[in-house]
Parts: sequence; C-alpha cells; structure tokens
Amino acid sequence: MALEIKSTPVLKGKNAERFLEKVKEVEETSKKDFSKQVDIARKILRKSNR
Amino acid sequence: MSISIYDDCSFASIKDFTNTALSNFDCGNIDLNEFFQEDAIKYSSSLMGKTYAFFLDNDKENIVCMFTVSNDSLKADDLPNSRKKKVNKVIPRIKQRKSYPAVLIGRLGVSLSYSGDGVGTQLMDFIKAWFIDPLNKTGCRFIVVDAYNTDDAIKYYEKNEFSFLFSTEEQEKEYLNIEPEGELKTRMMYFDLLRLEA
Repeated sequence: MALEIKSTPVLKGKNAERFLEKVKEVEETSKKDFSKQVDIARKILRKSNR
Repeated sequence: MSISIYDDCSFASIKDFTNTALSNFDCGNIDLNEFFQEDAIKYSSSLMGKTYAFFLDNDKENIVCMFTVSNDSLKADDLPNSRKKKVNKVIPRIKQRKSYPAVLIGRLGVSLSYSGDGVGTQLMDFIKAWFIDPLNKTGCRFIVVDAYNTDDAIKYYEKNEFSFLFSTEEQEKEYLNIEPEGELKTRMMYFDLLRLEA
C-alpha cells in the first residue's frame, strides 16, 4: 500500500496569520492572464470528449 | 524525448487504461508507481480521488504523466485585529474559521521517459487552467498538494509557484505529532488560483 494521502490541516496561530495575509495580498494584486492556457485546456478536454 | 502534452497527447481517466499501460508507467518513484498501479483505481471507485493521465496519441499504452485529484478545503483560524486588542484573560478568544474551496493533488508523476522536458510544468498549467475555467462547475480557490519531501519534488512545486502551508518543517511535524527527530515524508503546499485570470 502506497503512502496515504494526508488530509489538509486547519491552520492556526502564526501559520494561519501568514496564510491569511497572503490571501489578502493576492486579492489586492493584479492577476496574471491565463486565458491562453484555459483555451488549450478546453481543446484538450474537447479532444478527449470530456 | 521532447513532447507537448497539448499537441502529442490525449487525456483520459485511469479507468480507460489497460493494466499493461498502468504497469508500464514508471515515474522513478516506487511509492508513486505503486499508487498508480495498485491504489488509484480503488481510490477512484470509492470516490476518494480521481486519477487522470495524458497518453501518447499514437500509443494509448504509453502514459506520459498521471495525477490524482479530490475535493478539499483550506481552513485557517482567524482572530480579527479588533478582537486581538480587546481580548483578555477572562473571556476566551473568539475565533473565526475561514474556509476556502480547494482541489487536492494527492499524487502526480511524470514518466521517466518524458521527464525533464517541461511536461511537469505543462501538466501543472493544465490543472490550473482546468480549475480556473469559468466553465468549471464548482468554485475552487486553491490547489493543495501533499508533496514528497525531496529536493526534486519541492523544487518542482516551487517552480510552479506553490508555497508551503507551514513555514518550517518543525511546525509541520508538530502539527502532525511527529517527533522533532522523526522524518517528514511529505510537505503540504498550496497555490492560490486567484492569481490567475481566465
């Protein structure tokens, strides 16, 4: 049996603070254009009938 | 061998592959190979995680890369600044738990025959694009991964802009109740999909 897939932890204390600061930072910054990759992914899924 | 998973491959669920195709897959990691060959179908049928693969268009027995995903969430306890100031020893701290929808990459592997040519990054871009696509039926803010704690695996996720959930190995060990001298086999990492725009 392969290594078990761990469940995602609930962050607390400093780790939670750091994580939530990063979340806020991302919400306030401009986003990277990923539309080309989304188009490619759609083509792959169409090709595979998904 | 240099290939493009977009131009040279197709995408399918693990249940569409023969046992031969699965047993031929070798990503150079015994645990990962074992998972894809023996456990992934069980995970899929018990709805614990779905495994997908890219295979060569001209040879369905030739799997280029595989990954397993399941629904997840990232939770963090927050103590708002206003409360931090008011808190005293008598009244217990009232915490607010924030929860964000996420997808967990339980396993990911690239065949040794195709590693080192950007296939891993193409695959990660595909996964990111798949989940930020407005056509995606559910909201998903983060990709979370339980990455093998090896130089190669950690470098791969860092290159693809993942961050550690715990700042240090010591903190992660403490959370998992692993003794300080114990081995941390995997590390939790995440990517914020809100950084991208479809």
